[in-house]
Amino acid sequence: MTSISTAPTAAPVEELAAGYPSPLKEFWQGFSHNKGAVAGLVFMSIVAFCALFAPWIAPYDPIEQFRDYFLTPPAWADGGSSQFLLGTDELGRDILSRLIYGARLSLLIGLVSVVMALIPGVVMGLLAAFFPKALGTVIMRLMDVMMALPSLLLAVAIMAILGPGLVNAMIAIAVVSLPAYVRLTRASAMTELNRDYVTASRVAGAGLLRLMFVTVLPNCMAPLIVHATMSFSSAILEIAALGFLGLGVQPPTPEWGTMLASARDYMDSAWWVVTLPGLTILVSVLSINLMGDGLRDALDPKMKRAA
Amino acid sequence: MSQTVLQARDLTRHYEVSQGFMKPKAVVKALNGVSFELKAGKTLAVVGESGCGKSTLARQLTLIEAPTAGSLVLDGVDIAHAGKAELKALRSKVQMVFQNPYASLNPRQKVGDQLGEPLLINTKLTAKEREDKVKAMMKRVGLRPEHYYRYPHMFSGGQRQRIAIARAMMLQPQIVIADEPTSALDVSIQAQVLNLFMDLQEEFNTAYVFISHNLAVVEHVADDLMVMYLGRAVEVGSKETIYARPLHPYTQALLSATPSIYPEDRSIKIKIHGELPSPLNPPSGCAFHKRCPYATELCGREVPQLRTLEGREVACHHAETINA
Repeated sequence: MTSISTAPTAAPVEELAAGYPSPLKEFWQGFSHNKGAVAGLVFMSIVAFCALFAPWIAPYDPIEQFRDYFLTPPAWADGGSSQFLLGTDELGRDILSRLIYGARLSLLIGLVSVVMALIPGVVMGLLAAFFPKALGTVIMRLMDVMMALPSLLLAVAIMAILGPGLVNAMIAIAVVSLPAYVRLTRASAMTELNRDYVTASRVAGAGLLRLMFVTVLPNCMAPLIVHATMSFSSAILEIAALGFLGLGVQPPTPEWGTMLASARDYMDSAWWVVTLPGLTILVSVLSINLMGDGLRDALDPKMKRAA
Repeated sequence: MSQTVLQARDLTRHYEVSQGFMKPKAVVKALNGVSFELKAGKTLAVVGESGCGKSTLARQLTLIEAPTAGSLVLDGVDIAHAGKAELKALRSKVQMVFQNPYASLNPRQKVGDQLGEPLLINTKLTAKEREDKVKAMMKRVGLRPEHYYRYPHMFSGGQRQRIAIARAMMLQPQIVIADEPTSALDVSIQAQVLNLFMDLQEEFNTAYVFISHNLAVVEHVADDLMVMYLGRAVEVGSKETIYARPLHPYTQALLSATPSIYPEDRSIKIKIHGELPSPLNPPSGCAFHKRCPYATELCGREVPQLRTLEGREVACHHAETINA
């Protein structure tokens, strides 16, 4: 805030000519202020690049078994070979290749289940806030029922109805995480709705959709962004749990969560089999959370310097 | 004689409040039969203490809420019988300026976008035309063109209130409701904002409903005055008549409480005791009788109606005897 006092004296002349700064450039200016967010973006770009070009980057086929190299340690450890940089797993598959291929599925799962929960969750939350009497009560009681059930149990129940498979698993996870989005959106939308600027917009003649998405929603974004980035990671882990129960990703397919789950028997004897996928998930989740933080700050005008 | 733009007849608004599970709902009589007329280019000041229904009145006039009873005639159209399209057209004729300039601007929208929003919704102007109009209005209220691209948090309270005024004026409404527009501002800024209000009124011939509890401000801006107490008007008339000789004991107490820098203007303070009664459970008869120094048994029994006396309307049984 202190920098604002100096800016107006210097800025006016160039600003007169500048007109609207492009929203993208403005966003980047805000985002790049946050070093952590940039680091997260860089790491996630690398992961996304690996996922896209996996066949060219990965040294081996992710499901190919090297029967002479069961549980080979990583290259830098005792007994490791430079043939398998991150070692091999219990079935002799190259862990690096599996991680690279696994990024495809894991990113997709995280992204799709977050988006599938976020969009309906936000819409339902806004509806519940705008019509608190009838519709709001119905929506919120429904969400309470969903929250009363343990999330994994509910996901399994949904899978039992829809049948096993990756897409159905993502739907199940999205449905399970829906109540949190609805509650968050409703709570912040209700506080915003009582503000004068919403009344002002109403008096100006704004319709329901404009009020919902242009006036109120942008002011509710901060908790939603944070929650969305957090649930990205839990989606990956929940898919792993479903896969473990035989409902999600089926074994030979490389996927980070499944790799983690299937390696638990070797935790004592071969640390790399469980550590490396775990570390990959950890760092990705951290990057996404950092990005979420940066995103939240970049979208908040109060965090920006005087334009 | 200028034309009447707004006419309220017995405007009433009751709210139902839940008192808890299995208990009957209570009714808050926030607004209890208020009538007045507003003429183009004139200012009606609404005065009263907190909780007397001033803001409820504002909500009815801006058509945010529908009144429980009574009629509201806006520019010759009765809003009770107006269709949806008609209501939408009427809505752009009444705009509002809020008390707190920190809460009345959307923190996530640039000033230019916020000022352009009424035009975007209500007119078919192109983006360029809108921008030109917004910039002209910004200049009119004393903002610099580069402020167009800024967010509200970059402005001071006075500047924000100018933005809020500009937004209310964008559609050149016939009526602007100002709900204590200066009470959140510095005293030095208050005068600037008031003068801006009055300049704009002269320019656009806008009628103002100016809600305030600052009687010094009211004296500066108002043409007519309506004093409210617990959802009812107790004295209505032109500013000069009422300020010169208030007839209702409540108005007298209010006016005597206004500080003055001139010793000769300082009158003896009339003290009224107690709190404003709860609108959930208003006293019988005259709402003011429990705090009124002149109250008699009649006041507790009968509700006084507004009647004309010495050039204004006053709702008091004993107006003549008190002021004899």
